[in-house]
Amino acid sequence: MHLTRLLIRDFRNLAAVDLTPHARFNVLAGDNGQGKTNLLEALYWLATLRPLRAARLRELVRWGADGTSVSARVRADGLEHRLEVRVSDGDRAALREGKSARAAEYFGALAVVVFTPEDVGLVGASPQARRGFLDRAVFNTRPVHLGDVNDYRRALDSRNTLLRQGASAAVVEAYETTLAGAGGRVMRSRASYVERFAPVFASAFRGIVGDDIEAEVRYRPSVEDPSTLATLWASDRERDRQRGFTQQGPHADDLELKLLGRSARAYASQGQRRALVLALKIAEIRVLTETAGLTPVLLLDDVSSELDAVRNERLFEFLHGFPGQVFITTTDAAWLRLERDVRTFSVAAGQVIPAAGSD
Amino acid sequence: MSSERDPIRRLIHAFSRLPGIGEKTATRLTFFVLEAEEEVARDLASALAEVREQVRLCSVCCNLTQEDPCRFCADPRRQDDVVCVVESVPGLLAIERTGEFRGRYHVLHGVLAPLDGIGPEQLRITELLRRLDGTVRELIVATNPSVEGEATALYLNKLAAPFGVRTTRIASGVPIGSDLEYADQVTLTRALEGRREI
Repeated sequence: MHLTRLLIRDFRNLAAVDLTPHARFNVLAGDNGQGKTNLLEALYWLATLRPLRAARLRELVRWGADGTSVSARVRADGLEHRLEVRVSDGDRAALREGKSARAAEYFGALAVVVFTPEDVGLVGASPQARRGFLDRAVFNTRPVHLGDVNDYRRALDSRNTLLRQGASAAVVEAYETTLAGAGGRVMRSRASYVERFAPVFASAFRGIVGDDIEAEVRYRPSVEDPSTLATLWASDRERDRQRGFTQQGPHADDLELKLLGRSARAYASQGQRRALVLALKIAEIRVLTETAGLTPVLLLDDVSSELDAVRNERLFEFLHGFPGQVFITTTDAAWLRLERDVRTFSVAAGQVIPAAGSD
Repeated sequence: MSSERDPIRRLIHAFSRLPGIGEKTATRLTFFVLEAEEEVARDLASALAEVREQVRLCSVCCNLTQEDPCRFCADPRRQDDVVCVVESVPGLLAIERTGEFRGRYHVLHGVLAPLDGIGPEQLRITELLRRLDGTVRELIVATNPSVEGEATALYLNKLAAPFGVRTTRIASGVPIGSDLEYADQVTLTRALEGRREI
């Protein structure tokens, strides 16, 4: 799948953008703070209906504007789809083929994989960041995962609220059972995804560093067996009440990375960490293309400068072999290893225009 | 004239407090009322006043009604042993439109929603338990398939068990009359999970 047209209105600092992207590589060049990342964020929001960085919808709307809209024509399997997401009157609306669509009907026309400088720190980051990576990856192969994660979050917040209020056991228990239902679905989706993902990751890592170092990724659930969640919460209830929050459960899961059998978080060098992250991203894309039959659109936010020269070469080797569309931002085109099939856009003060001599 | 005394602005403000109506629609409605036949405004005003004066909760099922008990509770042809529990009156009307259900109803007026500060005391649950005097054998819980709706169903199940009442939950799945290919992924996934032997 790839975008043939992208229109953005009043999104962050982008007042009006109209792009005809290349089916392969699109370079967004410009200094920091000009709007390059905002453009990637607009694309991410269009594909997932979730903001990449903002906590509130309001933050997405350009200052002084009363709403925002991002729309695109997406070519997939020989068909052209029209997608649009907008905020007006403070409400978000998603439209597919010009008709308003519920989230579950909307997804599927466009899958994106995003790679940001924050991702480069994933190995040493909090479990929460790795869970975020995992859930985004699961979501692309299984859009209902988003609903399960949201239901779980809602039921978890409800249980925590009930515990703090000292609600009756019967009410807490009703929420624990609901929580266990959603939690079990979240865990099973994560586990079955990592099962497919782990061998692809190991082989991607070998492709980057050679055969001498073995890397391994494992799903580390906070509670091993999803069918025990409800009884576990029941027995933890009094302690959780004193703590004021739910200690164990899928919200405390982690994605564990190991190098030669040792925790990468504790032992990996800087170079190894970057190689691990690159392998995670490459594997995420391969699982989508190979097992789910989807070629996602890649959004790379100036990651070259965060990787070192060697890892950067590996990244571009991978991109050359990747058949789909890529959007890549950069402050310094010297990092890019692209000769053919490239369209370059300059981004300056919220204006995005095809660069002179592009194509 | 201050804005609170300006009748046009007052009406726009009043309309915009209704759910689903923003400033723009409120303005449109206001000017519609002003420009339409006078009787449109008079009917609207008297209907608004009467709906608050004449409609109350049914003392049995907590449905909104003009007569107490409401027509569903008063109807002698309906079964007394099955009670369908709904979140709201629109839910009751939806079930009633099927023409399939001939038992009684109970309206909770909400669901357990800790994040919105709604606990059992805010719902018509005491009124429901009072009805479990031996005649009722089954509660059909028809709350929405949301996190709150599910939790409320489980809670009612727990409360009803000591009365020897069976609690059932309405099924969720693919809408009849629509093609499978048009069903959204969440609905289809749930339908697969809830599959049954044939």
